[in-house]
Amino acid sequence: MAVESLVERIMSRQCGAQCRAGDYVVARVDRVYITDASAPSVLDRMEQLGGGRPAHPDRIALVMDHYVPAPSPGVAEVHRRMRDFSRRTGCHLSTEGGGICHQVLGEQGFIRPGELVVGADSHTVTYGAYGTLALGVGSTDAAVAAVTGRLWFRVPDSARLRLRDALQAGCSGRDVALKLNGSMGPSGADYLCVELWTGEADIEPDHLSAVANASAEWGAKAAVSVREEDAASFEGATYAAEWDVDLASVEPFIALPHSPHRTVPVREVRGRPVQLCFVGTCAGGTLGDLRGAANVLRDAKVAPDTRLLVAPASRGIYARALREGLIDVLHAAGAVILPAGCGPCCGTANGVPAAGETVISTACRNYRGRMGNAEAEIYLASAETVAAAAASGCIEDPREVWYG
Amino acid sequence: MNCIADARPGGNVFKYGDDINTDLIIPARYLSRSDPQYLARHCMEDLDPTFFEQVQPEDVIVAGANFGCGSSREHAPVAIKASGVCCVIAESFARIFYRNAINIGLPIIEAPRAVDEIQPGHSIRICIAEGKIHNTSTGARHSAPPFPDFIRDIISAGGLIAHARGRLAQ
Repeated sequence: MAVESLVERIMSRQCGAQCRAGDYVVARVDRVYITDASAPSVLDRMEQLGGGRPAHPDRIALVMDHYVPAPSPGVAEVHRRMRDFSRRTGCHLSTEGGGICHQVLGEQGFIRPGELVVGADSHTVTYGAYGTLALGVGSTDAAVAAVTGRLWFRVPDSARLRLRDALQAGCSGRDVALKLNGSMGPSGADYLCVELWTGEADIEPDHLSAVANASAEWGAKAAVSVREEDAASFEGATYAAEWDVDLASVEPFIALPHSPHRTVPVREVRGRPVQLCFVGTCAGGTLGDLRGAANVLRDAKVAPDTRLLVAPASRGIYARALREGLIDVLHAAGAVILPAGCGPCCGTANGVPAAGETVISTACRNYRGRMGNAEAEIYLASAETVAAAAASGCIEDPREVWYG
Repeated sequence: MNCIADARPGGNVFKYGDDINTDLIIPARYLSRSDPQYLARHCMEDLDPTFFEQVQPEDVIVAGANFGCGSSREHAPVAIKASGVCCVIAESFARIFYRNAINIGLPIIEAPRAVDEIQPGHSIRICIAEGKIHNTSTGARHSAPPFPDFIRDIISAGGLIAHARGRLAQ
């Protein structure tokens, strides 16, 4: 009998029957979460399914993160509907300023390792860094999972991404993610569950989180970290693909407009002037990212004709960054500190670029129009590289600014 | 499951390239509303600003690989369906878009050869159940592997909500 992959093991447990890759199954879902970008359609569909009264409200979370604080009467109404629903049903609610769903729900103990979770947002895969099988779904899927506690899946084949060694100073998990975006392309891990093997690596959870986050850009169904103590039990499992990354060889990477997959080493585009710099999002707003940005900007100033926006990924990260003095450093450098949330990542909150402006951001995606203006050019990079650009007024290798 | 109707005689084929992402299909700035007609008015606007003015019922989108990549927003297939497009034919679909389209009842077909052959201006006839595409302008016929039974059940029910309601009622 073939060795079960990690995803087969979790799916078999959730179905109460042996599952193999390729099977179509209906599985028990442990947790469901919904953002303010998906809530209107999810709540509509829950009502269509029978009054919107879920069997297990404690397994459902609503998160205000994309549009915070409410920028319009329409959004304020969406937020009110979320508050009302939570009050009426008893489901978990994270309000504005609490942070991004892919960060705050872990901190609040709502998401746990080893569980099967669906979130109505593609970057739900980020929780895979903590060993959760976390899948991004649409509104109808989220509504059905919330009301019935079950959802249909095709059990995916698995792939193995093995990380080795440790990152150089000035480099981050976001650089690993961007490098992989380039080599994987938009469908390099199509429909696969990517197992993250880190037994031979020295990597901080925040950096691994950035790698898991990026798996959404490779077409992966999920990326899940394999615990060291479980590694031996997967001996002999079969993988549809295997990749190795030597972390020590990763240098700062950047994605060119308008695709997260057009990535090159930062040194190839040094000197390009930038007007808007942004540190934040589920891809680059962790405490590790804020530390990286503050390290670059300590005793520095945001360059003239350049502006820097910073949005911590959660209230907890914001609090720790305050205690560590990181917010002081960033604020003194000239940054505008935004509430914890998605910030200007997808054009739903303040921080929209002007036509013709060049943006450098730690966000996950830079598709045309992503930040609310189709005439802006968006580059994606690590918090260190974004901070270096803010200090220099142009794209710069953070190692040059930091040590220069 | 019936064959869907002919594309409107002389109707439009909207042809797009690879990796058409959900930010292009419906920008996030419109997601605070779920009204399909509102979403349809902004469908494709950052990629093809005249799409909504031109699109007619029974038109077809033909696109390259990885159609619908990016975010999980179900507003993307909802906007396309509400615009009047009766089917999206692509070389391949991104994972979440594929689920969402099935779940909300937007017909989709993966047919790389058809994507190469069909051009704007052609009239085409599509049978989703059988995965058949007939280009009546050129006479070319194309086929795609039919959906697995599990998916056909969801499509037959009219989408996942109707399917789940049927199950909940049992």
